[in-house]
Amino acid sequence: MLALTLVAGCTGRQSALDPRGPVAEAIAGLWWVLFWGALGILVLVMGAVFYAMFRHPDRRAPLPHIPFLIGGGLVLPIVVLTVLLIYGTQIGRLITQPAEDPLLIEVTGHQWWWEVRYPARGDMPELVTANELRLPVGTPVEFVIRSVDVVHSFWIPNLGGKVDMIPGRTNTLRVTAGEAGRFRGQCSEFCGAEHSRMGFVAIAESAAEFDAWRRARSATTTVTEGPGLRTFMDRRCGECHTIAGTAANGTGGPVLTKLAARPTLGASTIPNTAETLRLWLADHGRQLKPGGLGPRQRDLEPDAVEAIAAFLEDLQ
Amino acid sequence: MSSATTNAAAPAKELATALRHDLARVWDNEPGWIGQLTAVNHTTIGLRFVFTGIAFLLIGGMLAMFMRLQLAWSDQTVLDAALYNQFMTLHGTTMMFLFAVPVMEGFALYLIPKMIGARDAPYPRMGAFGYWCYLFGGVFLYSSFLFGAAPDGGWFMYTPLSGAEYSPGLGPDFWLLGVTFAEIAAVTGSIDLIVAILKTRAPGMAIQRMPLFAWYVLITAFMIVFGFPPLILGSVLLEIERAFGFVFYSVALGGSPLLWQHLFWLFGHPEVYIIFLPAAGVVSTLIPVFARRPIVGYTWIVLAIIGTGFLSFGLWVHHMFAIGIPLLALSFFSAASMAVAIPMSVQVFAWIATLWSGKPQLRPPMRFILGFFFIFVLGGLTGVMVALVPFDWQVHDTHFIVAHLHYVVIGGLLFPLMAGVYYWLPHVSGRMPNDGFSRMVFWLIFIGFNLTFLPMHLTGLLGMPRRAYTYSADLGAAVQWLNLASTAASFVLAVGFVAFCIDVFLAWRHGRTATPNPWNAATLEWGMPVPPPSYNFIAIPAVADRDPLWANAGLRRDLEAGVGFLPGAARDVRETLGTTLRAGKPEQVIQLSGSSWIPLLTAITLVFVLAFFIAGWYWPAGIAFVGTVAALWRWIWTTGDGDSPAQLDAGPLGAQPLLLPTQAASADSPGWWGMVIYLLVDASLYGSLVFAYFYLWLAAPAWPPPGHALTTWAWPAFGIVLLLGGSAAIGRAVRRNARALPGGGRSALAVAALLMSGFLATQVLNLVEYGQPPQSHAYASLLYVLIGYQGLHALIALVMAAFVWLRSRRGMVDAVRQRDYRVVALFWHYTTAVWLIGILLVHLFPRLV
Amino acid sequence: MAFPNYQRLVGVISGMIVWAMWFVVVYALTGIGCNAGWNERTAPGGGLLSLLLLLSTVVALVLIGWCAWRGYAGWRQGEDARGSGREVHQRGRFMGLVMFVLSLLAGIGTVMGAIPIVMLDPCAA
Repeated sequence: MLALTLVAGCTGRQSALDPRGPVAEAIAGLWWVLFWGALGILVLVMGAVFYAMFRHPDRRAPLPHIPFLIGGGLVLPIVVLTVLLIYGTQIGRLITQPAEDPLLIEVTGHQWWWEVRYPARGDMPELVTANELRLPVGTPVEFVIRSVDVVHSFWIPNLGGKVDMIPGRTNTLRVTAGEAGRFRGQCSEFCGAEHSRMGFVAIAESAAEFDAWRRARSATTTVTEGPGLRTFMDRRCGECHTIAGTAANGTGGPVLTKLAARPTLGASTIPNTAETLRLWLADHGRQLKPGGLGPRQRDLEPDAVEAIAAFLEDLQ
Repeated sequence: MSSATTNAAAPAKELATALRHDLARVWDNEPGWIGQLTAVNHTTIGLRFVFTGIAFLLIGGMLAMFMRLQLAWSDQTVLDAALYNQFMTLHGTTMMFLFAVPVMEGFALYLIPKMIGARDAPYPRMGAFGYWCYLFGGVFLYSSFLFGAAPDGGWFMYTPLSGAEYSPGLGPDFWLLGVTFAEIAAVTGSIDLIVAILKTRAPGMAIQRMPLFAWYVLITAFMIVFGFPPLILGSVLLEIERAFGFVFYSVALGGSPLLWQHLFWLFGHPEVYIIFLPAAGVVSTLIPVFARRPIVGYTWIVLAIIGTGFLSFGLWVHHMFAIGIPLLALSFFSAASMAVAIPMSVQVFAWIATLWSGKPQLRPPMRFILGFFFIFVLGGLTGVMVALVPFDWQVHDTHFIVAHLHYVVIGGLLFPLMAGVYYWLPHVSGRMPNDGFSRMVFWLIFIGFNLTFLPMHLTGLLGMPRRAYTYSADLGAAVQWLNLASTAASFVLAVGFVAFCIDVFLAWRHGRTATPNPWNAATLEWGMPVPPPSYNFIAIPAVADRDPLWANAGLRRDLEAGVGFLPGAARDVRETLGTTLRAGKPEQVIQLSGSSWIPLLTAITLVFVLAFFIAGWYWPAGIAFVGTVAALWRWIWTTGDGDSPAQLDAGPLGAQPLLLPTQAASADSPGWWGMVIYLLVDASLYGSLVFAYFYLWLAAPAWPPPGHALTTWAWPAFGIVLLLGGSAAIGRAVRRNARALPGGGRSALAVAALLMSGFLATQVLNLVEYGQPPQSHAYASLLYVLIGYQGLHALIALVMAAFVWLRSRRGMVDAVRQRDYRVVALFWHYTTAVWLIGILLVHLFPRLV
Repeated sequence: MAFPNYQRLVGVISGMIVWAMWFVVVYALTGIGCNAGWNERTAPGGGLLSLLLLLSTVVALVLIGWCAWRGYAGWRQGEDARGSGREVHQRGRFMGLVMFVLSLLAGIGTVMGAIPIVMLDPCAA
């Protein structure tokens, strides 16, 4: 097990020990200092305990009580803790410094999905999507964090710490992606039944790639009228889901504009493939994400599933 | 020569036997199940708390085993989300409320009177009542499974998730009512133990000669006094928000979800030190015994415990580092979280110094103390890590925290608990533990524990959040394999616990018979025969040292011969000695209750109240509550001996009589002190309410909100005059009684009651004038709660006035036995003083801002 | 002046009580002050809020120092009478030492809590 851990190392798509940006790096650096320091203190204390316990009393060095109590019990912790406090406060200050002109990304927590909105910026129109976000490498990003229902928490470990999404309150999280990569974020405040299946994909890419993505995503789409869209509207999916370019404009559930371009379904519950899409549509995710919200009373008939699936697969 | 000593010895032995006979008759529990249901003796009740606590530990542990099975690999379906969330909630709730606090309360209740030289705790019926509330509260909570409504919002029940909108079922209500019911035991236990430690120590046991365990329990009890009320208030507010639509936590009408978090963690952080400190007391007790020398740094440890107690109240926001408030505000709590490690280090180094300067021996309890050192220090170090805000921002709400908390709780509570069980097993059962078997138990638990929880530090850092019923394979193979390893190791840990229970059971039944002081310990509880008699001491010994059995070689002989104060039970009543707070000089004779049905019956009325309430039948709940009040009336009426004389002889046999007042005639009676401590609890509850008021004010755009202003001055002004008049009348009643004037203070009591009723009327009229329903805004809800709180206290004061009036009529209260008047006056003046704050919040503050 | 009295339990914990009150004051000041924009109003040496926080800290440290001194004096009294063997002097040594070191601990807690005050902008999230 130890070997496996050493081999696997600390890398990971959701790993705080695999920092991919300056904020996460600062915190990881702090962690290693704390780790080695704690190990040292543990060895010291246990060494003293074992010495005191097992060394033969006649061969034990005599112990001056008050200096030992004051030195070990007061001076040592006061010094170590004060230094740590200053170091930790300094890092806290550095990683929360606001930037000059950050890229704003608004993320709003819902039970159990993420509403992501890029406000209009320069000549880029607003972009609304769900359960995914992209950020340009090297640009300071300021996440504007809210919730519409219960307390959630927004966290991308590879990039930085977390901040809670609290109804009635707007919080801020500042990170910068240091290198390109595909990361995972996850809700980290217990928010009910499907708290465990509330993740999202965060992709960091070069500024140019990011701009291209943004433009492509927020470009107006013409959605063709067809049996798929008609079935979608007949079954009242549009009452909860928005698809730009159609009459569907519900806000209770995740926006489905350009769904086909998204990497996962159900807030990172499953990857987005032809098969999984149909599986989800058959019972609106009742098997895949049992506690989730949405119509669950009746399964959708197979030809309705096929029609809607074909329609959604066209939303690029 | 020899015949003279033999002749002198024989009457002494006969005398001791006669005294023991009397004492057994007065102190033993009644036989059979009636005896079990009516028992109030601290030995019985203390053991009951421990056994019930261990039972809940096993239940909570089984829930955890299911959780571990579910988490053994990614995307499993052993437990679905709904069931997992219920198990997760009940695991935490059971461990924190139904195991950790009650089990140490049990240890304290059993040990403290014995260690300090008393026959029983000062409020035996209250101790028994606390137990029943704890048991019924736990059963009430678990009964939720039968109704398909087990709570599933986590043990910390964050709003809005636990509010009516997002948890419409009865789950949270079972939690709020059940847990609050069980919490009564902690509060009653703390009042009992504080008064025991401060007022019923053996003569000569001055405060600096008290066993260290007593200091630990004393500080813990005060922490309960100040730390539990915020949660009690928060729970009551959440329940009335859910049941009646009041507004405290929901954003729409002026509430704040963060208010719940503050109230919860204001309790939650001291709670973990409340759990840890008594266990540290066990460590401080055992180490000197097994090092065969007195503890090093007694004074330093005492100040460290007090420091820990205070500093731990400044930590609570470290559970909320991610809520998005300014870094400076968070840093105050970060600094305090680090500072609290300083007194902890003082204790650790004192323990090491004691071992170092002694001749340590590795007996079964000591093995668990060594395990404690490793696990607790490791947990404390990760605690220092998460005290740093930026690091916590990564690991908050991940399995890193799960690892940390289990290291400090299992290391800091469970290992000392097991050490204590093995150590006091000979005392409770008269039989010794088995060294070989206990060594196996230790290694199973130590290895199983570390292999289960050490990997969780890493899985947390690799991104695995907590309270999650499953996790994605995307987190990586390491996370999957580490979870599998944790699950496998948890079986070793579980086997270890079962082995522990079997080991203790077998030793209890078949262990080698113990000599009276098998570990050669220093504290008084080992000076009695094992298992102990129901009365602890034939006579209360005089004590002059910190380690009485070591310092005084003749003490055991004196204890056996009945040399000491209050010998026997000549008056056919259970008695113990009350002494002064600091010097421990004999001060009063305290008469204690014998077996009684009242505690059980009172607890049963509360079960009906809560059952009717959760069913939504509010009027029947109110009627059941009248039953509770009636039971309490009967309870207090039968306190002490109403016909006992004002003075009794407490002196040793054959010595000059030592006439001491009985408690009704003493200025420092348990009744008085109990009221003082209760008022601290009450003040802490009120303080939490004041905090809630200002917290919601800070977030509000307008205060009062439009349409909610109180405009008239007439009712408040009149009310305050009436209230002050009532206090003056009560003062007069006390004085008139003290001067033995005809009619005692009864007419003044009646005047006070009249004025208080008038005050109540002004409050009602005030609310009528206000006109807005409590559901309209948080401001309105707060107003109703502030005024309701005041009204409740006014009603209690009225009942108390009637009570004392009747007692005075019957001649049970007079110029010498003034206690009842003084206690009521204390409560009355408190009620007046609290309203002086209340009137500021309700009438003055909104007009100023 | 013999207040706080090292011979009373309440006196012994007086240093910690000052720390507790200081803690409430600075936390409340930060909450209220940031809400009311005090940090934007400058005063000699920095923002108004920071100044108030530092001032509270100084006041608290003076009071805690006084408690520590009372404790030390009490301990000394007991130490000087060590030969008497009387319980009241043994108790005086104990209470005095507890009061003295406990107050120092309160002072350390206050200083540690004050470090972020000088390092941070009080209202930055």
